[in-house]
Amino acid sequence: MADHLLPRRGRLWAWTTQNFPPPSPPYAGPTGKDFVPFGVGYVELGDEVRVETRLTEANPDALSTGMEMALTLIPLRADEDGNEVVTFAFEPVA
Amino acid sequence: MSADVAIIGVGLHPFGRFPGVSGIEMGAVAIRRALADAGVEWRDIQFAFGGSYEVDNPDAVVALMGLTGIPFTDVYNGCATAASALTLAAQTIRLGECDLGIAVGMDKHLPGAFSADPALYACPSWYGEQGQFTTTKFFGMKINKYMQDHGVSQATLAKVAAKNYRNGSLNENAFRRKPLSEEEILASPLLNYPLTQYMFCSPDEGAAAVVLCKAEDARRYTDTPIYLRASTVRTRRLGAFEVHSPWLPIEQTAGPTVDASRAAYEMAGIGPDDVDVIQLQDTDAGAEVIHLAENGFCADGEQEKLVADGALEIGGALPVNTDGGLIANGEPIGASGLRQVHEVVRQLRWEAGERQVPGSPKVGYTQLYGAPGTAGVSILSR
Repeated sequence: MADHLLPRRGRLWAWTTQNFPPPSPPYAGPTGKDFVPFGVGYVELGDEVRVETRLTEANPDALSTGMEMALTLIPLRADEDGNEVVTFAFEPVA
Repeated sequence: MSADVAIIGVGLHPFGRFPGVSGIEMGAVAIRRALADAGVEWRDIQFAFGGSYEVDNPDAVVALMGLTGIPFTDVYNGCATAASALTLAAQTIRLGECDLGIAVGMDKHLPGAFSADPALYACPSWYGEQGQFTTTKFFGMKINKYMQDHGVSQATLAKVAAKNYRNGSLNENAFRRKPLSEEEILASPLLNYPLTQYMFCSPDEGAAAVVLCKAEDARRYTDTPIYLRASTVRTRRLGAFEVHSPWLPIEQTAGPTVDASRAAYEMAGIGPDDVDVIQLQDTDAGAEVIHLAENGFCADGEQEKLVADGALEIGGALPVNTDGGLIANGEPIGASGLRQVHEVVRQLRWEAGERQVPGSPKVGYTQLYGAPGTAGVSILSR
């Protein structure tokens, strides 16, 4: 096994929105009235792989297949000590 | 496959919510009804296969049926569980060890989207923690992409859902028996774009059972045996766009439904043009649209016109989910596929009442699909 660097940008291949809180567990993000809808999609990284990812955008009108997307980090939850836990996501390239 | 296995009895415990009734009890009701339909006694049954998600050991139903000592094998393959039970039951008869057996499915789910530990699906824990371990968002992504690639509209999804609620209103065993308009379906809360709440089925409760025998014995029991011409189960291949896939290779391959369908047509020596009545996995209205093409009933994109022309209605050229499908019946996982077989058998015996497909249908088809990329198909004929 060796590390292999993937591109940080890619094209949106398939997408939807998550408009209700996923069942917790396993979902660890804010739920109930604190839930904020998010996008989900596959981003095609060059000709290497499609990765499933959260999208920063949840408005269907602002998402379109083939649009350019870039890697970013988003807050997911706080750990037991109150520290912010982040995870990866992709955002539309303006 | 030649016509070597026959279905001589079907039975159903209604689908819905039944507080105070256990999954096992519902299974026993379905078995008793299937036995009565076949005109046989529990003591005549030589083997059984039982499928369930919530009931650990469906074989425990023998406590309610009678302790006759038969081999009773429990199976679970997600939403395709019933296809496994049916396929194994048919193979047991084909092996020649037994002449008469039963396949039963039962389940009792809580309301709300299915969930599980991602580790049980060989998925990383972070995948669930960040909210991606849900089946519904896969169905949203798949139909959203399909609609863009093949020109299918959200209005078509609403028409498909409305058709299934309408068919469910004619089915005394259905969970949802109230017709819903396309406007009400489109106006219900958006769950996973482009799918709204009323475009999805719900996990619920129910049971179904099917009595099978060696084909050459069938006329001893009934004047209208329905022959099981094929029953197949397939899992996903690398490159298929499937639920619970944290990544996908660039090169795509067909999904397990396509594989199970092709194998079933080949086994049966029957093609999609020969099929008169169809049951498809409509986890959501989009899944029914896609599955219509994946099972060979139309080309990709033809659904828009077929739905507009009413082809999927009970009186149409391609009657789909005549009993309301999963959208009107809900999905007790272990029972769902045997509910499909129950409906097709009634249609092929020409005893489906208000839901009867006109023109004396002779060939029926059922398809299941679910996590983590498992499909089942059966083909039946008079």
